[in-house]
Amino acid sequence: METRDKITVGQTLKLFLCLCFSPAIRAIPAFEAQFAKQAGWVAPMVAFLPLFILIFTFDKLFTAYQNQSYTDIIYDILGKFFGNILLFIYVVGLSILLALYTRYYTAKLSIALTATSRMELNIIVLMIIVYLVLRYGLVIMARMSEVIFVIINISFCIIFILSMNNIKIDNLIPISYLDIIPIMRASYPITGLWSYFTFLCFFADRIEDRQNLKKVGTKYVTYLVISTILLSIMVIGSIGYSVTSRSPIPFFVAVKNISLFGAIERIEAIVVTQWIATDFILIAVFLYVILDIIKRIFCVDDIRYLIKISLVFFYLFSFYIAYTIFELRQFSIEVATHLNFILCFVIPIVIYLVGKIRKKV
Amino acid sequence: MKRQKLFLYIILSTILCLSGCKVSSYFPSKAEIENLEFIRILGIDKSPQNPEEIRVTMLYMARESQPGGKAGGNSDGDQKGEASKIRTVVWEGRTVSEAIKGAQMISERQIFLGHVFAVIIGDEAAREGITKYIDFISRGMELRLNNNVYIAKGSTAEDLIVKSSQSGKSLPDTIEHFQKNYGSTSTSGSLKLIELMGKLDGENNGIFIPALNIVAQESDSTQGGEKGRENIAIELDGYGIIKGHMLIGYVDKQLSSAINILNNKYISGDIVVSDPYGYAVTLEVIEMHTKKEYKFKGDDIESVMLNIIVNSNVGEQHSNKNIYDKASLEYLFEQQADAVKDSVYSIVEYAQKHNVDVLGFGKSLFQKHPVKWERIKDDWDSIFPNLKVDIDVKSRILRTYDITQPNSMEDMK
Repeated sequence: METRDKITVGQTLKLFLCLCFSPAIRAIPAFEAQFAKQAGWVAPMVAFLPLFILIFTFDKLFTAYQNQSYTDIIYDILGKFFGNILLFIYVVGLSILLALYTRYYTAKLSIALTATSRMELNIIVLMIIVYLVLRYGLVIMARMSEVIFVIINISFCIIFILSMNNIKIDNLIPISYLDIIPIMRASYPITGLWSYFTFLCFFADRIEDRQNLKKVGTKYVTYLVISTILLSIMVIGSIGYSVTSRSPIPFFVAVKNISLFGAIERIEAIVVTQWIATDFILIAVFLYVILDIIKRIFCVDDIRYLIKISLVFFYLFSFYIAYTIFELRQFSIEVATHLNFILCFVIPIVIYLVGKIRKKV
Repeated sequence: MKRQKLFLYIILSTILCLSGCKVSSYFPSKAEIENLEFIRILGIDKSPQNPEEIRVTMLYMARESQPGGKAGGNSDGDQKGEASKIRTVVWEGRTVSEAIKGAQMISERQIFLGHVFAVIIGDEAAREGITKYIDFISRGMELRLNNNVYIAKGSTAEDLIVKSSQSGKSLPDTIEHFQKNYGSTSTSGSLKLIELMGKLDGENNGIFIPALNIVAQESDSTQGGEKGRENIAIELDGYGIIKGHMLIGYVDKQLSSAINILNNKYISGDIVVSDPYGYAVTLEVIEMHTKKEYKFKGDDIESVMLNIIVNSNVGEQHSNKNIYDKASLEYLFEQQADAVKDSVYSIVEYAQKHNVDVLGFGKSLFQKHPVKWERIKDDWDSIFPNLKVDIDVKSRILRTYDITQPNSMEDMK
């Protein structure tokens, strides 16, 4: 990982959108339906606000700390000792999330394609690809995300258009003031997922035009909110909130039900392609960030040799984090949702406030 | 490069060697298409011999190359079905899944459920409660959630499937036709599994599932030199009514049509009325729309006003009089409105008597008045049977087709 690698804000945000996609199609409609029932599709509008706050917070931090990463900012505001502790917490948190998503990647494939086959090979293949890409660093990863971003968005648009026939307005109404609290509860896990933006700020020193973060970020975040609302409308609207909340992968169920004139159907292979591509980006980015933080904690110049060993570690860790899909789901609800919110949303805001108190921002 | 390759080999060999499993277990199981038996219709019944068990009937289209083209077999090894290509497999198990797996063992090929088009639930099974019978198909392991669901009216699904096969008709084709064209009479409907799953989750929903009935037809077909041969046909015959997940009975075509009117599922159909001279006139409905308005007193619901719009065309006239003057048309408007009112009052009476909200009142109350619904939903079971229902029908006849006055009209002679 060469420190001279530079990417643009646009590429960073495309990376962000790609890594949001996989957890979004798996979890967001299910959470929305579970908490807010038929009104769940409104939840992304509420989650819009915290994401904006987060982006504005980082914009302020980056304005105060030119050409420095989130790691540098943590060190400057909290000091070396507390900074190291916080970074260590980030490494642990990210490792748990990485293992969780690795396990989810293979669980999704098991549910969708290969119910009876073993999962090890799927993980190994993914890990090898991650290894090959990480060797070439951030720029290659960002370029790959640009390609994947286009592919997943075109395929999502096609899927949405094909499913419009199945969307029933009755499944999406009514919405009344009784739904305000449920919608806010449903927006909590979404905020946690969208706050993954924080992880990308760990390599903010490698973002060229980050003075445009607010402007470009607003554009991409608006796109993210609209596409998430469309995703929610598609899933809850076509299979209803009760089935959505009971399904481990409701998006997949909604796509399985697409049938256009009896001619275009069984197109769920597109969804599997989207998962694999976006899970790859997510795992690659998380591992890149973990290694980047480790590099800073231990003050080493090059840690490329750690890629292989860490991949083996995460391969094994992914089996220990949860064995069954029930454990995985329970772990997500009980642990990962709060972990996301605290690590990615609360801590950056606290850092900013401490910086403000210490007059560093 | 050498180190990378070595790394790759070490990982792969470690994983494959230490797993203690066959390499094939890492890949999806595969089957050649000619080795698959594509099940088209699945019938689920309560076992007649052992009430604890479930009897599954699977209909598939056999390939011509199969010897004899006769039936598959059932739990007793009997031959079932006589059609040249349509075959059935029947098996029993404690669960639907077990019965299907059991049937694999008597099948010539691997049973594949990915192409199932319709699921028929037997009368007795539905009366016991449909949830346990549809759980397997709802989990979507191979089956899809957009399958059509039917109830075998007054019979077992097995009877219906086997008799239909024996009649030489293609049940998949018949059901596909029903699913596409039920709107020509609107006396029944079509229900996807995914819709049924959502309805079963609803607290105050009355559920109506299209019913299939076996009817004996007198046919004067000269095929094979036979005359007056009894012919079995499968009829789409109204709805089976589900309350508390259990089948409580069936409604006839007229009441089913009224259910469709109140749930805005009525597509088209004929209303036969009398003209001012006492002769039959067929009015072909081209638009039927119901708007429900609820009157409240405080938080308590007082009554429901059903505003129905019915527009039709004259499709057939038996008198040779001119019935297209203002007075005659107004008479027909009234007749049409009365016919609709009669049907709707009948279904309201049925629903209130059985306390099963198949009229869509609870659902539309929730959608139009979510706040008030929240306060009354727990008492809905006691409110619904006593709810005052008023009906207002706006009836119009819009046009007729190529001719207006009938042939050989009296005044024209």
